[in-house]
Amino acid sequence: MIRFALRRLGLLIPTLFGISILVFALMHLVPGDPAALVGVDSDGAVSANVDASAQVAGFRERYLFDLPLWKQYLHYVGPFNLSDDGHPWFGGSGEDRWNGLLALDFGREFLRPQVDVGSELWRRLSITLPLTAMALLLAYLISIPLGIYSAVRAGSLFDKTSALVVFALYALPTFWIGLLLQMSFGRTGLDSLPTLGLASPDAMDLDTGARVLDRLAHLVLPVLTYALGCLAYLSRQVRSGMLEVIGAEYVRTARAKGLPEFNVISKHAFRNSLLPLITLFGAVLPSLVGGSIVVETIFDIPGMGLYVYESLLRREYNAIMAAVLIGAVMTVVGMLTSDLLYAWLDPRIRLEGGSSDA
Amino acid sequence: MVRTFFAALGLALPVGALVFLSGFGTTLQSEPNGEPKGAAATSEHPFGPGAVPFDDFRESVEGSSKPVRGGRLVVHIPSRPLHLNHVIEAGADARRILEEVHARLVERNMETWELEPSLAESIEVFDRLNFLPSKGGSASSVYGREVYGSHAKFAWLPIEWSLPDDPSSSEETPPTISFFNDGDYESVDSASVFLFRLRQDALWHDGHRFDAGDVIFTLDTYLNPAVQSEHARHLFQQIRSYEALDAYTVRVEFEQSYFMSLDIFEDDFAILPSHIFNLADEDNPHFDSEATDAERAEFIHSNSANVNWVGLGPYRVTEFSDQHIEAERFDNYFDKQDAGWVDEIRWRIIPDDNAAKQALLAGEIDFFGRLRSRELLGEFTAQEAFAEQFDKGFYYSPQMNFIAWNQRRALFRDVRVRQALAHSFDWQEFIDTIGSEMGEAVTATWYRFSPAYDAELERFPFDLDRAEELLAESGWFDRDGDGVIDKDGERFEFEYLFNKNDATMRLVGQKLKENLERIGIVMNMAERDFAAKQALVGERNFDAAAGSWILGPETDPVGLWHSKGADVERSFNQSGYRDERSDQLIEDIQGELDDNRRIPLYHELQARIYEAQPMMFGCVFPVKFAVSKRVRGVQRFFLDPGYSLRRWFILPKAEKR
Amino acid sequence: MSSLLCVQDLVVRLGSSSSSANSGAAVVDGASLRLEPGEALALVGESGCGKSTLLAALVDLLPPTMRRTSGEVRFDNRDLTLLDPKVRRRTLGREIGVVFQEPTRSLNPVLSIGEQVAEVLRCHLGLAKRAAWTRSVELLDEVGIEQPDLRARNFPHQLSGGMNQRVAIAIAIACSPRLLLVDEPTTALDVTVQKEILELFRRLRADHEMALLFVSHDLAVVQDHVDRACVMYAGRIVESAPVRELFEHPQHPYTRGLLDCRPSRGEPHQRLFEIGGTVPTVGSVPTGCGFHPRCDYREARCAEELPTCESERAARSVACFYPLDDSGLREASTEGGPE
Ligand SMILES: Nc1ncnc2c1ncn2[C@@H]1O[C@H](COP(=O)(O)OP(=O)(O)OP(=O)(O)O)[C@@H](O)[C@H]1O
Ligand code: SF4
Ligand SMILES: [Mg+2]
Repeated sequence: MIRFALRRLGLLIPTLFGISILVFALMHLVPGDPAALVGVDSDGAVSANVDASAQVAGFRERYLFDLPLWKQYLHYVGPFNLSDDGHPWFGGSGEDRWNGLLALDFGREFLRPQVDVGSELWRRLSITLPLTAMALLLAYLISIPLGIYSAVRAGSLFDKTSALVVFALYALPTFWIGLLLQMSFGRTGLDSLPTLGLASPDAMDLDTGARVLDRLAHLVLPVLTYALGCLAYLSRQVRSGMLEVIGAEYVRTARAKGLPEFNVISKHAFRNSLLPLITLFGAVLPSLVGGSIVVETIFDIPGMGLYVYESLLRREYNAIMAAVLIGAVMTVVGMLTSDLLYAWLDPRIRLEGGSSDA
Repeated sequence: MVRTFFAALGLALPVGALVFLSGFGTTLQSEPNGEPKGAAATSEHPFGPGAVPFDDFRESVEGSSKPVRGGRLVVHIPSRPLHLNHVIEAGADARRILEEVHARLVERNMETWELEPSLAESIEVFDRLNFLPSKGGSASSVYGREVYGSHAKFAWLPIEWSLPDDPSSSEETPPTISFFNDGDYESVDSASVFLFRLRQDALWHDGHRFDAGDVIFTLDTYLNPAVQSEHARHLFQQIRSYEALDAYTVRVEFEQSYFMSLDIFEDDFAILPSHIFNLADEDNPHFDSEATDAERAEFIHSNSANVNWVGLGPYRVTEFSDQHIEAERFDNYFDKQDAGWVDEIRWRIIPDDNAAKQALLAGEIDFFGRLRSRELLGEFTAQEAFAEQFDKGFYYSPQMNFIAWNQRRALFRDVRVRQALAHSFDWQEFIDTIGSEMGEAVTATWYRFSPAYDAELERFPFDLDRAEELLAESGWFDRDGDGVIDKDGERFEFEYLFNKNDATMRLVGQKLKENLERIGIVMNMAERDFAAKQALVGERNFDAAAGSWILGPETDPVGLWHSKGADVERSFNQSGYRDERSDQLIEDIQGELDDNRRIPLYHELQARIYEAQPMMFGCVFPVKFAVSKRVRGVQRFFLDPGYSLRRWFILPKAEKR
Repeated sequence: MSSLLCVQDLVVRLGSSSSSANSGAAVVDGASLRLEPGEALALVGESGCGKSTLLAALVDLLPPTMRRTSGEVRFDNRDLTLLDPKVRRRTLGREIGVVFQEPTRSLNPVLSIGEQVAEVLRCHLGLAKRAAWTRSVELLDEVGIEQPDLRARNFPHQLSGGMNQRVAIAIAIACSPRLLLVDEPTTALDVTVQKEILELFRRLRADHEMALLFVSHDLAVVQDHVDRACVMYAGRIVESAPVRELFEHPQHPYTRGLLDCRPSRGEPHQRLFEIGGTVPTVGSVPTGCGFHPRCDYREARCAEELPTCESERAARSVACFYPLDDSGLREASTEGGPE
């Protein structure tokens, strides 16, 4: 299994390069220069006294945008300067502090040149990760029992009402759920929970305990919104997986053994119904780091989702590349994890073969 | 306007040279007793330059209007500024913040719209004109000297004159002096020299003393080709030379007299602290005398002080986070008269308007400037949660929206076609429905309420019949009976490019599309995100493109309308407008230093451009705001940013929250 | 002394438990049978006749698409369906062991076989984890699995069908039940394994003193291992008799047909005789005697009236209006066979 994991991780590197080439090309093919955003207000009005042609030309020269794409890519990947007047290899000459992706240098943003993309990503992750992790945990914690119970009591009143509620949640856009929660729990409603941001503006003045409480209070509504958003899908998935398994022969055997019903469901049925759920795990991991644009917008949380969104709007190529690469790593790791989990839960699957049939 | 009473020789000569000596106007400054005083002058237009009363938009004003110190102000801004270093970026939100956390060599008086000395305690301007006698003889030079001082606002003096010892005497009626007779001389060239005498009591927020080195370093930075400052570099490239004469005197010499040469030291000149940003400054801990241009640029770009701003304003930035930017009162601010009342200002960043309105109703913000007309007049502001806590109002800011027609494309080459398009949209109706009757349709790309704008100029009325007539005249009518007009076998069909987040221009497009359909024109909506739209427009790869301009109190029309930009990729002459007379007018405006004399030039230019319809001129909507009842001292200015936070104070009884 | 298991007029119909009482086609239609302690009974019939369904109904583990609509199943004089769920659970697995058809599918693929045996022991006998494991290894040994201590750690997919069958049996007998229900334990196994499994049952019965209900579609296979046999056709039990008598003197024309289908010794896989026509599917069982379209001996009455077994208590009973006599002939056959 370790060999399998290593081999899979080994595949990661060519995969990443493939993805980086693809995204790099796509990104640069989409029209638009980061420089176009200089002197623009939040509604897209442009300062009439800006010298846009000089600004864009300066940008393009500074960031080598006028080189052929393959040269730009090589420059991005490593410290290969392939501009006509530059040295083939350089670094430390003062002309360009770029170390390249190979040196794990994600570069800086163009419009906020004080921002190092790597550390910014890290900062955003540290905001998004706890939120999405809590939300997904909550979603799983609710949807698993809910799905199981609905499956066990398929056709019952409980099953029907929960199906109704779940479908309503599914149909409601996350945006609405968020706003509804804000209105019901915010100042204009019950006034019991903060509705914006991750901390009170004055959180710095609080002592540690109060600050933790403050942070948790701020997390409630976003986490709930996010969780409710995936709840519907997850619980339906659990229910259908469970329904499939509950009619299986071995579950009947378990009943015939006279095992307690809880045991039958949790040990014999659930563990098998988990198998299709595990495939989902490959998708869960990237979404952990991806965050949610909608939730982050409504609750004003500067997480990964918004960062990627803003970067796309601003054509912050370095930020986009870094985010995509992290997303790709997470996807590959997620798939690997789901394969490993699969193998752990389902002894029929062997991983030593190298290629996975999971 | 900028230098109202400045009558430079360049203009004075042809009409019989007149030179003024003038002391000017009252200033609005808080008197030492703390009672703010408005300027006395009245203006022609309610939204133009002139005195601005306090809290006049409120329905009722309770409590004292005597300002008090203390409290915290929370002001909403709609997007996270990239940073506060204005040299490398020129975003509107950063500017609003810099207004309070930074100071400039000259500041604009938001009531009179005049520039006033600030960090530069006084400015002496030498406008040199070289004359060539028309009857023969040798060339000679005459210098005009203009002084912007803290007491005598400015004065125009022949070179041999000096500032009177007693400043108050300059308030008398200026003498009129005739130099020359008409036709004796013709001007051959002109140049301006600025002598900035800096205040010696200004401190950076970290306690470092401000001096000429900072000004020189900032000029260096704007002109350093490796620095990301191209957006403003062209302004400073007009400078022939600059030097520090001593620690507190900077001399700047322009190539030519230029009507906005002082203005660029206001809006576009953000002074950087040399001891923080300058690698070649010995006070910089990273001092490196050998640093190349690129290294110096890199040091500026990646400097953390871009966000942890060290400025010169009455407020000092203490926190720059994702949620808010916070500043506290800086006690060492040099202008004790206008040093701010509240202890803290917090700019609360909430990009999503719905979320921001939630926060507003929750009482978390004191000022919100993104109400919609319908909200201003309707239920939103009528609800108790709002009405109890807030007053509402509006102000205009120099902006306008438009649809540029790409004249490089055959479809839009004929002026009759463009005029027909102008007849095809009812801006007044649009303003009445969308803007709830708040807004003004415009006919120029300069600020609707500035003296440069000719409000008398008649708009092409909404008249589809006339539009059809004009189209038919230019050969466009429906020959094949398919309901779409055609010419030379081509159908009249074009794409309307707009920013997908721009709800206003989307609506304009939808309505225009309907109207055009009725006269047999097919318009297809093409939405793109901002950067893509801007790129397509920049490459001139568009038919019609919607946009909006942020203007100044006065904007040099050269960028938008001079033919030299028509063939330059990404220049703001998007439609490819070229007209010799207009070029001449623009050049005349640039060289005309008398504010009043520029007005007829602007008016003529306005009429010419409007007649040619290179773009469909749109409208300007007012900014609709909500401001907390606990905040007082609020004036609505009709220039960006529309308000001056340092004048606001918080009613003592309401302060505790 | 009452019977260990007594089934009376059991009807199982298609449809979920919420459907109305008599809706849905009958899969098992009025089956009655009884089983004395220690007795071995075979339930035989063609594929699809409802044997497995009957077996599932006995332990109240019908699939959700079927439900019992009438009749009684009494184990130890108690009706399992009416029992408190807790009591019923204590009965199942402990007093009644069940081996369902298709052992591989009835074993949990994600649990080791040792665990699957041990869990019954822990549940019913209260053995501790380790003791349960040790005992389960013994049980695996007992059912003839070699190297049981190693095999216990294997998963079902790692074992052959025969092995899994043994594991299923080990599970069923783990608590030495008084009644063992086995569903086609020898089908799909090759002959030697079949023999071994059958031998296993014999041995187990001898050792554990349990009653056995053996479901099979092949009478011949079970004849040496059971005391009595019931023949099932289209959801009904048509004949029930001590196995030897049944073999020698089948009374029901269908039983006769089944016996004639037996492969002869020389040619084991060749059918000598086929019953003409097709087995009726659920819901299309003809009126009257379900067998009449295929019966060589039918009379007009057969299509209208339903023949019933006289009594399930009798040593021998048959549901036919015109049962065959000992010579295997009917007294008076006036009509020919089916078309
Ligand atoms: N879950 C189910 N839902 C509906 N019908 C079923 C179901 N299981 C079996 N049946 C049908 O019920 C009838 C009886 O099936 P059952 O499995 O009891 O037959 P069997 O005698 O055991 O046959 P086999 O020898 O093939 O095991 C068959 O016609 C079958 O198609
Ligand atoms: S009842 Fe009639 S049809 Fe049925 S088996 Fe007997 S003889 Fe044949
Ligand atoms: Mg069966």
